[in-house]
Amino acid sequence: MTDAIDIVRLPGDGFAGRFRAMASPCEVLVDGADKHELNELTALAARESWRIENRWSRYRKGNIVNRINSAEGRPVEIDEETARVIDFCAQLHVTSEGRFDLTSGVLRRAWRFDADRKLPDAGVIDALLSLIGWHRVDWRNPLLRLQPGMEIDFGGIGKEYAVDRSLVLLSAATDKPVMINYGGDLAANRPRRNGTPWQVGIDSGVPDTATPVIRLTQGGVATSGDTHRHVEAGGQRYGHILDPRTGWPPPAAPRSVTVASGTCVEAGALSTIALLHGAQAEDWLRSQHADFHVVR
Amino acid sequence: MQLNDPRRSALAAAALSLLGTVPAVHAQSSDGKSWSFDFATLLYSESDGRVQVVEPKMRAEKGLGNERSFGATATVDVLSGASPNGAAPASKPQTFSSSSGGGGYTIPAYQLPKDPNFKDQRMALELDYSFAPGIGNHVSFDTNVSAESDYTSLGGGGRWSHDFNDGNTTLGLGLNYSNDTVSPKSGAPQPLSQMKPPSGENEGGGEGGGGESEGGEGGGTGDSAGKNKQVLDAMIGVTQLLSPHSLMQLNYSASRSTGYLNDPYKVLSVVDPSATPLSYVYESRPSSRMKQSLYAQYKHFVFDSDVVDFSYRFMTDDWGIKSHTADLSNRWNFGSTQYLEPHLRWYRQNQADFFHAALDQGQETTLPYASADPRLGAFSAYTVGLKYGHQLHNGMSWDIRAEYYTQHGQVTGLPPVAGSALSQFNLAPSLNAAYLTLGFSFK
Repeated sequence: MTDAIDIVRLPGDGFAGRFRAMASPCEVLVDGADKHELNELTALAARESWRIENRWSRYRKGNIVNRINSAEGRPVEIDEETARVIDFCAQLHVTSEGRFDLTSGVLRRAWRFDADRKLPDAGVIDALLSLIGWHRVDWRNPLLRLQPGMEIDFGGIGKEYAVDRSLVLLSAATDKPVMINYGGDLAANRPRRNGTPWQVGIDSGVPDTATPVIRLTQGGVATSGDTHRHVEAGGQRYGHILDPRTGWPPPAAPRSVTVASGTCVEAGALSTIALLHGAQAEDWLRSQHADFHVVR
Repeated sequence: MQLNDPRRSALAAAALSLLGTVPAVHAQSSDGKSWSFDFATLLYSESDGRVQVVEPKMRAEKGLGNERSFGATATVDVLSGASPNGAAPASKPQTFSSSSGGGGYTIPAYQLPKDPNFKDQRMALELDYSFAPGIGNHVSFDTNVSAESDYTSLGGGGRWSHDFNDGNTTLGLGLNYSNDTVSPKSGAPQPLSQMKPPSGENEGGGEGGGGESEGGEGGGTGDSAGKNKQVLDAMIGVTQLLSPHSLMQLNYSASRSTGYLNDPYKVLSVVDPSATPLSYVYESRPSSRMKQSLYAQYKHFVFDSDVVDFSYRFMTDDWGIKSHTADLSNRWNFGSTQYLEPHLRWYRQNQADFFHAALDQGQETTLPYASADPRLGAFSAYTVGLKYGHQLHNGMSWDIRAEYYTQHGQVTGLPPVAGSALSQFNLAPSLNAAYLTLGFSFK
């Protein structure tokens, strides 16, 4: 597996460990580590990320997500780690008043954010809404039962979870300061050795806006946005984050929301739910006392 | 940031319980100065009682910090079994003197003659040192020595690579030199001289008069002084990252061997028009060989963790051999700690210009070069294999690889007169072999 890991020298000083996981470029920085040590630590992070990706990928035959989605109404026994994520997502469903929903993935059948960029048929979306909703799910740890035709998808949380898990593992493996950056979702365990914060340029993907530089000493940062995948029709922009209650993107949603928080999963949950608040994104983030940056 | 909102703290607590209770996977802290050890044992077995090899190997590597590392590898090979001696099958039993200097051996009619006394032990030691003299540069040096009863090799080399284009491109250069000495037990035979019969008659030998001449029962006009061979290899290569998911490597290499390039134990049959053997003569190869090869490798990462690896090599030399090798492997990771790697390889070569299945009477005095060594003949081969690897805790891992090799010879180099009579024999029987490798490493 180390075949897929690259150690590159950064301009200036030090090295970065790089690999790909979850369709994103992934980077590991360890302040003061030489190439050998960074290679070992990056391998640890990469193995963990690939493990998480394999475990919860919708495309992997035979994994837990595949078994749940092909159970046709039968209950499926859930492993402990997956159960913890389901519990966390169930909590998000409450916190977001139904905006965050593990079962919203079936909307993909109607919305295709690809080259042809057509708006879906409203009738198709209405039909799909009967297959969406955490309230239709019977979750009694360790048994999960979906209605036939329903699906779950951990795509909205997996990358942030991998960031936090990688940081936990690397913090146990080295005394040096560590920063994890998986496709713009970040976490750091402490400032750099000279006491300065880690600095990361976040690509909001929005043309003609300055790349915000994040200064991170400790904790997680996550960004949600529609910048790379959206549909435009009738002069209106439809982002790829969909409100599971309507089947449509929230009206007047920001282009991107970046949140800093104690962990990357928490930051990711806050930024995603904020985006789903559409025009009220900033208000909701303020009500959560969140540390955020919104691009509209 | 304030965390006193009740819903916020519920969310923060939920996030922490999601992460906090997950058992941390151990990992040794290291500062690049760790030791690592690898052990592997190869078992190789050819069908029909041919060559068997047991090869244990051990490598230790010590990181010295700042990208410097030192490594030592020790290998032992134990070889035994029977190896084709180059003579053609005949319709009557054939008797040969043994290469090991002992008595002779007799091969039944219609069978491909093999020397059953193929037995040797090889010990090899390699030391290497690598370092990074400046940004994007890597240099390594190695030196190696190996010895078996009739062959010693002393060599060394260096490699330099340079990363540029943001580390997306790597240029590599390598140079290697080795100096080998062949000292056959019965002296090195005069090329194309007649192999003496095994019985005591005509106890000539030792024409070259070496001090440790053992009488030359097998050696013909033996020259017991060691024979020397030098090999110089040079390589230049480029590795280019094509996308975050794929990379390509292109290498050109040239290798020049000079000196004694014969296999002192290989003979050719000299046959009459009815393919009856009249005598056996030792092979004769040119005293230099220039090989050039082009190698291309493409690696593609699938699902960001599985690796598909395809490579192709074309080799050509001034002995007239051209060979093609295509190799495909696919590493498939399952779970976080295990992988399976199926492997397929296809190989084909044509024969050397001086390859002869046997010689007509008189050819041995007119031809400058001749060899019936099957390795210089035309053949194709396939390898099918499967490897399983498992990463254990505490930096330990092990793997097992099983491979099956099958080689099909093509009959070429038939002598003009006896060729049709020789065709009744199976001159190029297939060869099957199995490889089993068990490896273990820890830090």
